[in-house]
Amino acid sequence: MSTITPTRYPSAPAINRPGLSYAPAEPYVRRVAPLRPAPVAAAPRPRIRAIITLRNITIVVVAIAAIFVGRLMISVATDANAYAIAEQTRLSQNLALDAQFIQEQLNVLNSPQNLSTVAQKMGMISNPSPAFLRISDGKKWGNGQVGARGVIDRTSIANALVGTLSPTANTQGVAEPKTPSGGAESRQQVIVVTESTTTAIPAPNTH
Amino acid sequence: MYRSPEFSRRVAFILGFAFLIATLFIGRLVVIQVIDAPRLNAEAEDRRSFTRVLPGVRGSVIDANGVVLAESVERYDITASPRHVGEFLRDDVTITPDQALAEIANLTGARVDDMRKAIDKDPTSDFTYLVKGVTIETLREVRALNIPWAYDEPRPSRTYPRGAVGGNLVGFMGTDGPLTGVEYYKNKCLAATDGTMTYAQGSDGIRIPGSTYNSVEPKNGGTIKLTIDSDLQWFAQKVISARGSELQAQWATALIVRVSDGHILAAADWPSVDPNNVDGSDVEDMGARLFSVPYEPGSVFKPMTIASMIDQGLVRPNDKFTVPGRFKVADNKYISDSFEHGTLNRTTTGILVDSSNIGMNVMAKSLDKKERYDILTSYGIGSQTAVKFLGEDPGYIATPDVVDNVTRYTEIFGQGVTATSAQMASVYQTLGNKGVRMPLTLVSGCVHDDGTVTDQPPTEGVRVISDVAAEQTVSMMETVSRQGALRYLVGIPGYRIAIKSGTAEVARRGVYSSDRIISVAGVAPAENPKFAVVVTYGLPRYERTSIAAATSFAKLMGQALKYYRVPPSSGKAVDWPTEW
Repeated sequence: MSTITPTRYPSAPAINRPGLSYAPAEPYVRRVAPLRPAPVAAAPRPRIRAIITLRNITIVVVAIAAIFVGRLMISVATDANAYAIAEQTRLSQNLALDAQFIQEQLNVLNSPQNLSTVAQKMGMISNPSPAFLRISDGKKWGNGQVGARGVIDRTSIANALVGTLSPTANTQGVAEPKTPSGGAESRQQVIVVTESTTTAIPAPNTH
Repeated sequence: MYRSPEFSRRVAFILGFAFLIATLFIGRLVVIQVIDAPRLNAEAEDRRSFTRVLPGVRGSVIDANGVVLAESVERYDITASPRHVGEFLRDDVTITPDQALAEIANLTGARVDDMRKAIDKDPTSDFTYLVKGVTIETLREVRALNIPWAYDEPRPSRTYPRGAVGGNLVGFMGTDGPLTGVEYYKNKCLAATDGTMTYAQGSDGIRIPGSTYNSVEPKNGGTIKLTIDSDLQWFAQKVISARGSELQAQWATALIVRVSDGHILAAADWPSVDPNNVDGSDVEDMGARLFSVPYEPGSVFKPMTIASMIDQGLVRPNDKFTVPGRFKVADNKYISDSFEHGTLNRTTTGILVDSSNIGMNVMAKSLDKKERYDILTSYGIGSQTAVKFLGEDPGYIATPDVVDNVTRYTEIFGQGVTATSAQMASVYQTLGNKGVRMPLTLVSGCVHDDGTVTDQPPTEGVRVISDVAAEQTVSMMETVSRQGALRYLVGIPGYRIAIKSGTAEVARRGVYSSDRIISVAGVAPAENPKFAVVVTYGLPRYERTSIAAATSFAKLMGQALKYYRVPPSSGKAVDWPTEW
């Protein structure tokens, strides 16, 4: 334990005044409570002192700031992507609908009702009397008549989709056949197809 | 520094107050974050989350080659809010409601009057339909009109790309589900199960990525694969439609069956139904007559009776019989033939060529009623075919204990007994397949999304008669096609065919009337049959004999042989003697 020695000040010079006699003044001592001994701070250990440096603190602060900024940016990007994803999803759905609709149209265009209609409009007719040729000996079966003597097949099997799903494709570019007029010559020429227009498929006169 | 006691009290008060406030906040925080956390989280999720139904897609119906006969598609209904219907500005031009409706009508084909009526029905309403079932293409055009009071909503729909081709088989859907045909008959396979997906979305309805809470995948319906070939089916329908119209028949059916496995390649009904436009057909034309309408088939029954008698050793193709002018079956009841004749000397084949009812009973004299019943039922008469189609009729055959004294003699040539066109096709398949009856098949399976196949048909055949008996019968039928009344009409150049015709009287209130059901059935090529064809016209107004059905048979059989690239026949037909 340490003690503090009272401070002594030099005594004031005596004033020689008659009748007054002063005893020399007591030196002024400031009375203070004895102080508790100040705690002796433990000296920082060398390793911790090495870590806690301004440089390291700066790095930590910057890293934390970077994390926050990064998180913010990810959040912004995610939000932005939400719209992008929504848009792409919408586009994807639209394309799927388009593909489905095109497939629908193809299925209808591919239907025998449509094909036979278009074939007839192109001047094709069904041959009810086909002939067969056996390759091995060249023998022929059937009368092999040309199918031109047939008439235009008006029998139709209903399909309400033809003309609704493919309002133009089934007839576009294919001319309507004319009804043959009377006379021996015209009996052989059953279907006469007029010249096609604009983008029409070339439609020859069929004999 | 001197601090007065007053000051110290104030400080203590403020600190105490602050502590109190802090305690309250902390308490509230604990309540929110800990005690009420689950409930609040759930509420928050409810507010942000959105559950979307993921619709499962009903399965398709396809033919043997994968051609789509029925499929699910998206259509859209255009709706309106009548109370908001009014003028609006578009490109600084005022558009009136009638102008807007005219624009919609122009794009959709709907009638302006109908839409106007729908709006005027309840002008205070917030919803009415303007047009139903438009395509995506039309919908986009309507949307582009920017009519502020017009809206749209999706409508899952069903389309039938081949229309009435197979329409009577495929059936159709109603508002609340399948109504008939395969759509109904195989609904268990075709039906889909909807799924759901729950996720969070922002205030603008945009889904927040990675926020899916739960997801139940939808289950699509399976695909029903039929055995029919839609092109052949179309051809068959055209043939019977054209001929049926010419004959002014009330109905017609045609079946083409592959004899080796009993698969139905074409099953045509006339009149038919276009499932895309059900309203265009009568109700009685919406089903499949070839499965649901039994009739007395008449003489097309004879080959199976003869085949069984050959099988039992009772007759041979060239056995000789004396056929009288009539055959007594009961007091004052006689069986006669379609043509008057005296006593004829005919072989078994000759009886078949003449289609003699009397001759049939002369040959079958030794058969008792149970044996006759057993012969017919062994071919499936009186039972549904293996198809077991919706509403399929088993036909009728009197059991031996109830059969009367006339019917026991008439049923062997197709009178007093009923069968469907499908059953008759099965009979000729049996004869063509060397006596083995294969299960008649229309649906070859249900293919599920994961590749598994269910609803597979039975494939095991049943031997009904010996192969020799079947071949001899087919050979006799070939003689019918060469020497019978239809010989100039049923020929198919290059092929040997075997047929039997039938002209059956139609009973009205227990009495045979002048109405007829005419049919021709047969197999080809006769030396090794590939196909069995049965074509039938019901109640023709003109040409009430089976001759009227002959050309249809030739066209159908000829098309099948050509379509499936069957090489022309080889060898010569056996010309069995018909007389002696």
